[in-house]
Amino acid sequence: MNELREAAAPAGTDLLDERSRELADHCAAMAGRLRAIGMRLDQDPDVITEFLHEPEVRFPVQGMLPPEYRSVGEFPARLVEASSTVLGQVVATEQVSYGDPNVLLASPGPSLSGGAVQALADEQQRKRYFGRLTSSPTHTFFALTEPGKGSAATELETTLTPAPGGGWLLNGVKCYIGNGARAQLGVVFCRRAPGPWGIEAVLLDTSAPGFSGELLPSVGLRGARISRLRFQDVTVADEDVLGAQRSPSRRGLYGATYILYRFRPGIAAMAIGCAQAACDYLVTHRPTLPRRDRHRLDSVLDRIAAVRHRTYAVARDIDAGVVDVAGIGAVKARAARVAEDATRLVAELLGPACLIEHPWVEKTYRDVRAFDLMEGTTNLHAMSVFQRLLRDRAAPQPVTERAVDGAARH
Amino acid sequence: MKPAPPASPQSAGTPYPLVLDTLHGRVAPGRLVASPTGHVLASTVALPDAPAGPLTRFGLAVAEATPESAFGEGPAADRFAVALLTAHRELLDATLTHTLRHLEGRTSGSTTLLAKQLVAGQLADIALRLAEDTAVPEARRHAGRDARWRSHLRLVDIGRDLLRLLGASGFLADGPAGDLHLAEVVGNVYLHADTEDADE
Repeated sequence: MNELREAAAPAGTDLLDERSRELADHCAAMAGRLRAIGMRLDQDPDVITEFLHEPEVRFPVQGMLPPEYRSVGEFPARLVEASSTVLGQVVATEQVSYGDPNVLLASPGPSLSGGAVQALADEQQRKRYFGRLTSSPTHTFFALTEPGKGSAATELETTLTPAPGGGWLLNGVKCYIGNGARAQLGVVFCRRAPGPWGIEAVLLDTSAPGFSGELLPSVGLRGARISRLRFQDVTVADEDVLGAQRSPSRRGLYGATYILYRFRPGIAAMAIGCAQAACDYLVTHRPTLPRRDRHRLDSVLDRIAAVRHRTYAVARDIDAGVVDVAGIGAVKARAARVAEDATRLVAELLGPACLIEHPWVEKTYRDVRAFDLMEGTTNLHAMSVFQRLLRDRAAPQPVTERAVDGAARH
Repeated sequence: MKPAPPASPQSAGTPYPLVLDTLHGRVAPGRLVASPTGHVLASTVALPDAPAGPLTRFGLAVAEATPESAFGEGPAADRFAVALLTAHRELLDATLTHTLRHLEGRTSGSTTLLAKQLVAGQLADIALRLAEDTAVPEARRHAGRDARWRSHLRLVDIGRDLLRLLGASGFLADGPAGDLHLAEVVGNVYLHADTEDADE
């Protein structure tokens, strides 16, 4: 359903090769259906189960699965393969989110936890995890954030202690975990010992005694089903500790940061897709704008094009093995901000009572605010950008210490 | 026009929809004030028969104006608009206090987030902007629809910055984020300075 958008390729896509453009077009054609499903999810996020057979819901998950677990013959293999890189995920996610980001977030599938399993797990753990995901629709979660510490991986307080009869006991609380309360399987980051290398990632079946999940009422992006999770003496078997065969420096914390860096551009892509969709919606419903207002819209479109270009660039670099931490955080933060600014401008220029008369605008206006706080707030990423600025342009030592002291985490 | 009623109905954390009901009652006793667009927004308690919509879960109902409504233009509407801005400002003031407490309870390393220079500077800036908006002389702040809309946009800016400082808790519908979203929607309906004429 391409009538939602302009025919020309969006500005800022010059880094895409032919296959990536084909992937973008394939996903763009899903936008209309995804938008309709997204409106239903805003009313009741659990209705996703009614749509699990639809190709628009099934395709975006395929590229997150290892090749041997993908659906055979259902989708063009070259497009599924194209969507399995970080750049491919970004391209697909932007177009899918142009339709509606809630569908992707509400869908069963590997989410970030699948990335952790791919990065850390041994063969048996991979088989158990992905085998279960492909045998029946399975929601998963990635539990890092804690109530008092946010997503600061090195400061987490959930504990993993030896159980009297062997194995481990998991205790603690996680907060704002996507799909946590409705998942059947997840990865929990926890502390086995002091220090950064004392962090572990464990696979958890949510039917385990001592696990409980509670949905949190979010303002928007309800498909994410953010939750608070509690672990009270949850038994964890040795074989559920991910990557136990690896050295401590190559498992828990390594897995968390590896995944966050790889998935963060995807959050930027969601924000970009929503921002572009909001601007296109305005143009459709108010094609003639006064010159001053057209300038304001064009200014937002300039920013969308710029952050799209930069997001594609950092994603391409990650695929090439170059992880620019500050650059990744910067595109996420800037995309979140432009999405918020775009929806606010659209709500203003559509006129009085548009947040009542245009329900999709009201929903998107709420949804995009989530992108600022997903995977680290803007302040956190701003400090990372600042530290790189110092490294690149100033005498590093004394000032860097101030920068670290001034860093904020939410 | 008359100045805003010096109401502070949400000082004890009253949910915004009930604050809105109070404002309706003060401005037009026994009736509900309609927007210039012909909408009435009030709590789901005040409008129990309104159709369910996306704001119902926030406790806000939307209905079409009826002949019984205090209609969209004139002194009642002006007083209502002024009262809405006052209520929004008070909500922000309460949210600022909430944010200070919240950040004092969050730690990074060995210090609270409140002790971080970046956070402290942002909070101070927010407090100054809120005070500045309050200090805009009445005659200027309530000079007309455009002036009220400018004030609303300033308050929305402040609210968004506050909610960012609350991190993920600034996205929960049962906290300040839910009430501030409603204040934004209500402003969009009752305070928006229509720009349609500028289409020519």
